[in-house]
Amino acid sequence: MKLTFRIGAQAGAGVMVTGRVLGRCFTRGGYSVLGYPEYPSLVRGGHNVFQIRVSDNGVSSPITKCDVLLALNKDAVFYHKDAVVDGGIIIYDEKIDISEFKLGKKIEKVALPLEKLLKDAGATQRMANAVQIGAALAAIDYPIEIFEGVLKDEFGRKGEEIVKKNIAAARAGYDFVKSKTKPIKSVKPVSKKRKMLVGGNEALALGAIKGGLKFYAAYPMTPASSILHYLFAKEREFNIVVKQTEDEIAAMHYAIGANYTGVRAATGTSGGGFALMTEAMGLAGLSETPVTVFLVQRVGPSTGIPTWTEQGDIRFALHASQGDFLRCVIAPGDINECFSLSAEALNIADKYQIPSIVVSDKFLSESLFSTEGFDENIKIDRGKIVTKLPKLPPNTRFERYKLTKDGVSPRPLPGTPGGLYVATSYEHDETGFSTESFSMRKAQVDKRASKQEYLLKDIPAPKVYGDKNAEFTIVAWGSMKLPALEALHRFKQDKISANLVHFTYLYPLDEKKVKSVLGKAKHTIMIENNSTGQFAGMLKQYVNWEPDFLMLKYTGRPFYAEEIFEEVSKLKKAGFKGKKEIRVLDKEDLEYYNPQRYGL
Amino acid sequence: MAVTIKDFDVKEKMQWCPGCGNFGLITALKGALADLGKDQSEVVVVTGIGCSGKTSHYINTYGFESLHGRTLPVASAVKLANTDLTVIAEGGDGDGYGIGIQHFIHIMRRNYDLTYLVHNNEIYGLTTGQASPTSLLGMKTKTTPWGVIETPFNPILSAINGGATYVARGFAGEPAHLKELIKGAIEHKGFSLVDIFQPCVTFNKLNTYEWFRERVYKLEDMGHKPTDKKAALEKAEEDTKTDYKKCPIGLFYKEEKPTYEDLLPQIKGKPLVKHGLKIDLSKAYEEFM
Repeated sequence: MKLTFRIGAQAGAGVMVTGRVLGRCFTRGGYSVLGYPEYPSLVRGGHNVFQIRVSDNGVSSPITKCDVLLALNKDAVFYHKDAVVDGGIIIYDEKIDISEFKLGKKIEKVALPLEKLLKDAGATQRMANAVQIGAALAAIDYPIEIFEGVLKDEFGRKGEEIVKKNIAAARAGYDFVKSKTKPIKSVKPVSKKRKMLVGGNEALALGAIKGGLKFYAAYPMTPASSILHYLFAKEREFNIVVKQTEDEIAAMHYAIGANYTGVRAATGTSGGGFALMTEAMGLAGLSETPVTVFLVQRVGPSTGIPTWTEQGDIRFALHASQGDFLRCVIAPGDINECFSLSAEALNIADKYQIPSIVVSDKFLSESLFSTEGFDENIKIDRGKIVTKLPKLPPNTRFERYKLTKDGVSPRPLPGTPGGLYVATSYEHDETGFSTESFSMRKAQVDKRASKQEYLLKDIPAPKVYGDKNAEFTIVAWGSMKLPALEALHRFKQDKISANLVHFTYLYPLDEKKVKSVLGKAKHTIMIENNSTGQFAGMLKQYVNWEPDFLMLKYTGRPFYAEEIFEEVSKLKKAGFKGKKEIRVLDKEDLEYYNPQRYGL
Repeated sequence: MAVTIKDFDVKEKMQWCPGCGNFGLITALKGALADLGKDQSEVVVVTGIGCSGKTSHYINTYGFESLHGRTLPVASAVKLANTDLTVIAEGGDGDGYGIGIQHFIHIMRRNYDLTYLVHNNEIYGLTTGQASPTSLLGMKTKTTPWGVIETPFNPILSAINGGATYVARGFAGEPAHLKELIKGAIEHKGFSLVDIFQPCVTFNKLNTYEWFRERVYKLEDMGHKPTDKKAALEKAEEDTKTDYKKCPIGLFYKEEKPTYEDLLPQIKGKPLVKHGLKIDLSKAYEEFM
């Protein structure tokens, strides 16, 4: 069973909330769910759409078609009418005049008397989305009781009256659609075991909390802000201090200062904010202060297209700040990896006393994903923090930057007797005192660099999904795992032997480990959500490996599974011969920022 | 054994220009910490970049020499992470009133319990003599060969208006007086600013020790009441209004207000750094089901 909804409305009408609640109705029925929002950088006006995919067999990528269109305004009919499949249904407010649109004959249309239904149910305008969700569920004959359960949990705190009215509104929508048309499908729960429906940023935040995060400082920036929101909501429950700072320069320095003092601390931002953090990346590097940055990419350069997705910032993450110093760049590829790698990034920062960067993107961070639960098997490793030290001779300092074999030196926290030292942005001797000695400079650079060898031992090889001896291999990193996995599923259905090599640890790279996986691949197609193949370049530079084909998309949308399937199928047909670079453009070329462009 | 001023010394030689105001300043700071009986390991001195930045190297406590202008965000986080620590932030006029001014404006709104000492020498010293935000009108520097034409920044006035709860000015040429101001600042619960006239003997030939000595006087000698905001604001502008004939030093303004940390129940009675890391997320998960 696979089913796709689209909810469309003008910005500010609440499609995100409607989408989340509708999604929850299905995770409660044991289904896999993906919720994918698209919205322009506007608070009012423009057009918002939320896609909800439901499946009993895993679902991971948005697609171009839908079965049920819930159109909350006229624009929504205009934008999505062609996406509705034959046998699908459009549910719209009766106030919308759809006569000017050419709608497919095999598509069911239901005009919802929203105002009347609300009035009859004794509900308020704010409960309109309950009517709409009820209507959508009727169209697929899904038990309304599950939705009623969601409403009880959602509004229980607000009192019985509110719950009752919401349920009445939901029933009104449900009954109306049932009375008007036959359901397009009959969908029933597949399991009593509920799944969770979690946003990517929420999973990053939850993973960090589980990983011992105690302090988070950030300046609001889409699409990283919801990490900040979630942590703020939870700061008292989990004893975390969350700080909204005056800018990203401050946020990064707060995170560094808190880590220096001994609490696990992180900051989060998108590319523009990270640009302001770059100088302090080097401060963390030179002073060997652990710090973790959540870098949630959006379309750049500059302000770019702020509410859309891209994988364009890993070269930036890799090179941010002047001078040479080690950092670790990690890119989770799905909701469970968001959780576990967020915690792992905190471990790596502490253990190696380096900056770690968790790279996500708008697609992964702002979409909702179902999960059966996170892997909580996380061992917090604080590295070489020292708590008991002998007394120091008078007027001397502790050797905080002692030259050690693994490059990591014992780290006392302020407040520890016998551990006095100065952390500094200057090159320094073993006590932290500034020095310009050539030999000490070289020794300290070498010490810091020597951590890489040990860090690499902790870093696993890229993972392989699908047939071991596949005819061809898709190579992806970060969130592009999701459409790639769904494309694999398509190939499997067609009995085509394919696999995916997926990278979560992007830097540093171990040539042996990478080649042990990629060396076996026959034809390789790398997909990246950017315009230059940034990670392909890194693979060439650091492990001397190149894909046969490089498929790039940089329109603001993630790759859709269909696009990967179609492009790779074409390559296969051509015997994997042809131009190395393939640039993908969405078939559906509509923009949501300026509906007026279409006379709306 | 009681801590003495000598405990705060380091073996390394303090490499400031002979006669630099920083010598008097660091002596006052060490003296204040010793007088207050502060345990060296419970003190963190956070500095920025510039001649003032070296202070964290020349005082034997925990230290963090951050980036240019970024003293305050680092110091703020140190305090939030461990409220048991005594946190001293130090920077110069370029560091704090130039490149890092946004942090200064915002820290005053927050009233963290920490002390900010500004080595204000009205010049950029380490970069060899450019105009700073506090360089006086008409002063000739490498970047103002025809004289400064920008109105100097008034830190005392800004601090009182900005919400700082302890606003003082000292003079490095009067270390005993300065020491008392720093002691008061450390003991004050909330954000305290001590702006310090700190003559740069190499690059500022205008604001010399003699120049200051002719002009400074102590507010307490004139019966100034630091709780009187109106009077404090008037005194804050006395130097500019008298064309620098009179430059008051001492405590301008003091106010009791809850600190930022006081308003965070999650760290009440227990510093953040001492909280356990084991967390049960099961209740949080329920919200997603």
